[in-house]
Amino acid sequence: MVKLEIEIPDDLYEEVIKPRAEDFKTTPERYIVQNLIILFRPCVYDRSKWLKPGQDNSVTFDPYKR
Amino acid sequence: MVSVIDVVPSVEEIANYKIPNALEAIGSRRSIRWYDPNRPVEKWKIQAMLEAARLASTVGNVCAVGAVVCYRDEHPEIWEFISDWSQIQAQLAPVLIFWYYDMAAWDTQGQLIHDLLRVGAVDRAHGWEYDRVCRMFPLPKILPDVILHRITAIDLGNATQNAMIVATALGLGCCLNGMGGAVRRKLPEYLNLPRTAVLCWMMTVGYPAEDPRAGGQRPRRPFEEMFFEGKFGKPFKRDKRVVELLRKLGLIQDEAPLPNRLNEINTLTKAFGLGDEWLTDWKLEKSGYIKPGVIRDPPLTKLPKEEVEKTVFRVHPTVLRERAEEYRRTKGIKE
Repeated sequence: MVKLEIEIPDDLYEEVIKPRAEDFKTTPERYIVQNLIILFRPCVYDRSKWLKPGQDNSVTFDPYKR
Repeated sequence: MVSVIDVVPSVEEIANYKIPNALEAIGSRRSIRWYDPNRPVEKWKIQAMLEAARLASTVGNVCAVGAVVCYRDEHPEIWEFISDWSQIQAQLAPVLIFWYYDMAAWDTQGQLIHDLLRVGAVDRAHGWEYDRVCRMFPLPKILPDVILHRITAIDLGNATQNAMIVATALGLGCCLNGMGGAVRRKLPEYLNLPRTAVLCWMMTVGYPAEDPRAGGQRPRRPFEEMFFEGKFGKPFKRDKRVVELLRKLGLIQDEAPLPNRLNEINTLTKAFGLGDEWLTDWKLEKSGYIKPGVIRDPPLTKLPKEEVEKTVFRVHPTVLRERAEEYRRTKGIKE
């Protein structure tokens, strides 16, 4: 597990994250991580398919495999 | 039991169907929770729902919406993955459609926007050019993931709504069921979904066992609380003449609860073998939303047991053959 130190605006932490963590009976840190997992887990992009200016952008791929 | 039948009607046969227009279909759509478990669904109708979903509005032609169709009787183990709130529906409905959106679709969104240029759906006058699209798309180049989730989820909403309207127009009932955390974590693996897919809804599909009006149109927030003119806070005034017009056109229908709805719910409860403890035992009333900003929400009015029992329609055994014959004799009725 990677450990990161992040800065969050005070009002966001106090007015949103802390009370939401209490709603979910968890810690603010854990609540932030749970939300980040839901947000980021599916966002695995294949940049080789992305458009490149000034060229033919034809692409071939297997739509049933990731 | 058979969940689906694979017969496609001819154009002539379809002409005999009374297919409602868009306004009527939208007005008649309900979340159906009681299905006829023994009536299979025609596969062509499921395809029609999926075709409608495919044609729904989609942001930048990303087409990230997907679904896995399961037939209840071919996948009985799927019940293990369904939350308790959805069990009754999932057991009654012959068809379950699992709707998801796939973030991997964003990778080729640029090519699909170019496709819109290729076929003339978008034009240069509106700012569309091959190289400009190359610089800006796909959208993950320029938008944070939370925004991508949001717009993709809206696409899924558009698609499922299209599917539900078509289902209603073809006489089917359906309902979107949410999935709890544990289910959402386990079901993707069972369905073999990729990591990039976000499974959102289980849609139950089947012929309604309840009246398709399902007790009437659902109460919603007052119109003026939802829609505005010019600025938030200046309500879009609901014109009664328009309401009357739309009522005649079938978009606006009688609001719940319709008379005898409690009888209907409780008769279905008993008919499907659920015990007395599952009978709905509160008085049905009009919506508690009095006007914008005023919601009346006291505890539901409990009905006494004997009154609840009266709501169940009971079928009694027919008279004995001998008694029927005696009756006919005395009445002079011949066989």
